[in-house]
Amino acid sequence: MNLATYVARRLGLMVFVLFGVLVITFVVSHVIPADPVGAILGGNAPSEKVDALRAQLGLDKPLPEQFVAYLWGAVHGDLGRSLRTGRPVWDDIQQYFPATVELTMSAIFLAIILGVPMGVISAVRRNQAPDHAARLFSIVGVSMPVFWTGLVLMLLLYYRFGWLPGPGRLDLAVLPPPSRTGLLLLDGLVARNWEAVRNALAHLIMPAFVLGYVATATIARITRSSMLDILSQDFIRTARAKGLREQVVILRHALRNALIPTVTIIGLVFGGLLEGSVLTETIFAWPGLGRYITTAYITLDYPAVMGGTLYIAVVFSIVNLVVDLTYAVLDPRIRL
Amino acid sequence: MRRRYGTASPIVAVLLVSLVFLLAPPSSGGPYDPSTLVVGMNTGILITLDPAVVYEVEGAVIVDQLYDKLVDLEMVGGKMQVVPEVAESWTLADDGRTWTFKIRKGMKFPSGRPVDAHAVVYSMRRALRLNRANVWLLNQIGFTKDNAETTVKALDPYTVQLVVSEAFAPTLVLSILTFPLTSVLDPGVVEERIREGELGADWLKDHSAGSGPYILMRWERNDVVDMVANATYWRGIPPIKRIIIRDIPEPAAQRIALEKADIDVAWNLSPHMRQEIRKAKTPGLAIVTVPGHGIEYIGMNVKYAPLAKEQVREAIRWAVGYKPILEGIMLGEAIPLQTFVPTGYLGYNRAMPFKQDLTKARQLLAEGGYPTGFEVELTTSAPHATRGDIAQVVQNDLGKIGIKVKIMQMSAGVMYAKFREQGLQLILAGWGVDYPDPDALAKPFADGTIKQLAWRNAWMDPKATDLAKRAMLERDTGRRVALYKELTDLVLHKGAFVILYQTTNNWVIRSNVKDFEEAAAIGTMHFDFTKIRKERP
Repeated sequence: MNLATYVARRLGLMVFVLFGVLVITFVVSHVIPADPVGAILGGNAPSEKVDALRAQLGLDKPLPEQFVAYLWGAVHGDLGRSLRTGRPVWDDIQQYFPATVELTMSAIFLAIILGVPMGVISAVRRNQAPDHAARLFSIVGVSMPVFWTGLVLMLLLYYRFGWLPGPGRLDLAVLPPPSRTGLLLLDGLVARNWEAVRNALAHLIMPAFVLGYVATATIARITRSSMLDILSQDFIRTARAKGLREQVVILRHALRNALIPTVTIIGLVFGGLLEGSVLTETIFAWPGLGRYITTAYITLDYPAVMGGTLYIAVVFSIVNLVVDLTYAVLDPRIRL
Repeated sequence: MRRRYGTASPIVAVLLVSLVFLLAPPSSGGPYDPSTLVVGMNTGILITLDPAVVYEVEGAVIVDQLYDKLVDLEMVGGKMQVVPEVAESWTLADDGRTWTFKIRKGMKFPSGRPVDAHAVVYSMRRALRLNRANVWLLNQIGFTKDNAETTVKALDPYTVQLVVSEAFAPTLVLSILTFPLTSVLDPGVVEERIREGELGADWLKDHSAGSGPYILMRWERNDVVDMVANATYWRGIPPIKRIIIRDIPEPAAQRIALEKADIDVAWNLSPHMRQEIRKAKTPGLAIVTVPGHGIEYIGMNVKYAPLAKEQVREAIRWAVGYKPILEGIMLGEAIPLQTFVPTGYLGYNRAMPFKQDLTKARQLLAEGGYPTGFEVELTTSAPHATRGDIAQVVQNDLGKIGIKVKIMQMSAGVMYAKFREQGLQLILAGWGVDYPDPDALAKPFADGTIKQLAWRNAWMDPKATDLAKRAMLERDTGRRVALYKELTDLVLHKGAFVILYQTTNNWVIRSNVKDFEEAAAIGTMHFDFTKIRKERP
C-alpha cells in the first residue's frame, strides 16, 4: 500500500471514529434521566417556565430529530449554543482551548525531559539506587490522585516555601500581553514582554508537572524497558567490543533505537493529558477547556459537553494521525 | 463604525481617569495594596452580568456594584429596609396602584449623560421586553412585556410613574424593585450596542453601562473579573478603588491563597474549613457570618396516605433531632428556624415549639392511625455538602418511632422534575428567597393555588391561601404583620413542612480588611463593596 492510500484510509477511519464519539456523547447525554432545563432554571422554578424553555430549546422534539439537527449543525461548524451561557459553544471552545493547549504542551514537554533521562538512567543502573528511586517515583505517579498531588505541591511549593506562584495563569500585578494566539508564553515572546513570559512560565511549572506526572512515570517505565531490551542486543555488544565509550554506546546507539516505543507512548498519553486537565485545571484555577466541560457537565449543559468532547476527540485524533504518519514514513512495515 | 468611536470617547476618557487611581500607588494591583481588594471565588457559575438577565447569586453580587437601582436595601437596626437610591422619594396614590418616584438630580453616568426618568423607564422596559427567566418577579406585580408602555412611564425628566396591577402591600412592591432587574442603564451606551432582537444583551454580558460605584474593566471567563471605582459615582469614590475577583474554583486552593495573603477574601470555603480556622484561631484570618436568604426544609406529600394525617406530620416534626443537625452537621453555621419567615424579614415569627420528643411523636403517630409506623421514601439531591448527612439523621430519628425511611439520592434536576409532578413522598431540599419580603415565602409555602412548594406536596388549605392573598394586599404594615403571624402559626402545625433551619452566608477574610460585616449585612441579596476599607497588613 502506498503512502497516499494509507493516509486516505486513516482519514476515513478518523471521520468514522469522530462520528462514533458524536453518537455516544449524544446518546449518553440525552438518555440519562436528568433535566437540563430544570438545572438552568433551578429547582424552585414554576412548571410553566420549565415547559416554555424546553420548547424554546427544542428539547421537546423526538430524539432522532434532535440528533439530525445537531449532526447537521456540527458538519457545518455550528456546535449549537450553550444552554447555560447562551453563547455559541464554538466561541467558548475558542476562548478556553489555548489555556489547555499551553498546559498540555508544557506537561508533555516536562514529561519528556524528565521521563526519558530517568528511564535511561534506570536501565543503565539497573537495580541500583537510581533505578529504585525512579521506580518509587513512577509508582507514586500512577497511584496518587491528581487532586491530591496538586494540593500537596501547592501547600509545599507555594504556601510553605513560596518558590512558585499560586493558582491562575499570571500574577495580578503582571499585565497580560496582547492576545494573539491565547498562548501566554507565545504572546509574551512576540510582544517581548519578558516579565509576562517569566511569570507565565513560573505559573506553568506546578500544574504542568502535576498534569504530566502520570505521563512522566509512564514514559520513564517504557524507556527503561525498551532500553534494557536494546542494551541486551548484539549490536550493543559489538559497539562495546569496538571499544566505544559507554556514553556513546548508550546515547547514540541504544537510546536512538529505544525511543521508538517511547514516541508511540507519547502520542497515547496525550489523550490522557487532555482528560487529566479537567482536574488539574480546577485545582490550579486554570481557565481551560477541561474546566469548561466540567462545569457544563454539572449543569447538564449538553451542547457544551458534546461540543467540548467532540473538539477534544478531534484534537486527539489529529495527534494520533500525526504519530501514525510519522511512523509510516519511518517504518514502511507499519502501513501493511 | 466611525460614529461608534465618536460617542465612545467620553467613556474611554472616564476609564482613563479611573485608571489614574490604579497607577497612583506604587504596588498597584496586588493584595498588599490597600486600595485594591482581591476576592477568591468560584466564578464558574457566572453566566452574564446583564442586570436584566442575571439570576445567579454571585452574578447578582457583581451586578450590584456596577448599577444603581430605583431603590435599594439597607440594614437598619437589624432589619432590612428599602432605602432611596436613584429615586429620592416616592408617593403612592390612594388607589394603591400608582407609584410616583422622584428621581435624584445630579446623578451622572460615566458617559456624562444624566441618570434621569428616561434612563429608568428605558431600563425597566428593556428588562420586560427581554422577558428572561427572572422577569416573573415583575410579572407578579403586573408588569409585562405587553403593558410596559402604559405601566412604566416618565411623567417629566425627573419623575417616573409605575402602575402595579393590584393594591399590593407597599413593602412588597418596593422589595421587588430592589432586584437587579430594575438596575438603571445608560440608554446611550446600550443603544449603540444593540443588535437585532437582543436589546444589547450580548454586549452587556461582559460590559457595564451603569452609574454604580464600580465600572467593569474586564471579565475573562473562568479567570478574573476586574472592576475599578467609578470616578463619577454620586456618593463619592469608595475607599476600595479596584476589586479583583479571581476565579479559584477549588476551596482548598482558595484557602491556601488566603492564608498566603494572595487574596483578601475567600468566598467559597467549606463549613469544615471554617470550623478548622475557627478552632485553630488562625492568625490574620477572620470569619464573617450573616443570616442568609434560604430555608432548608423537609416537604411531606399529603397525597401519600400516611402523610395525609395531620397527626402524622406533627409526629414527624416532633421526632426530628434539630440540635444534632444544627450543631453536628451544620457546625453552628445555621440559624434555628421553624416557621417560614426567617430572621431579618418583616413578620419574622420566632416560634420554635419543636424539639425532639419521641414519646410525644409516638403518641401522635398512634392518634394518626399508624401506631407501628409505616414505610416512606425520603428524596434528596446529590452531590450536596450536607443533605446526605441530614437525610441520615432524619432516617435514624424517624426509625425510632417506627417510620422506616428509605433514602433516595438523585441529581437535583431529576428530583425537582419529580417534585413538580407531586411525585415524591418526603423531600429534603432548600428554598432560596428571591425578594426580601414575607410574600416571597408565603406564596410558595402556604398558597396551594400557585403551583409551588405547597402544591408540590399536594397541600391545599383554603384558609392558608386566603391569608397569603390578604397579606399580599394589606397596606397597613401592622395588620400585615399580624396576618403573617396567623399564617405562619397555621403552617407551623398544619402545613406540609418540617422547617429545619435558615441558612447563613459565610466568608473568611484577612483581618486587615475592615467593615466587611457592614458590607455583607444583607447577605448576598445586596452586597456593598463601597463600605469596605483595607488597612496595610
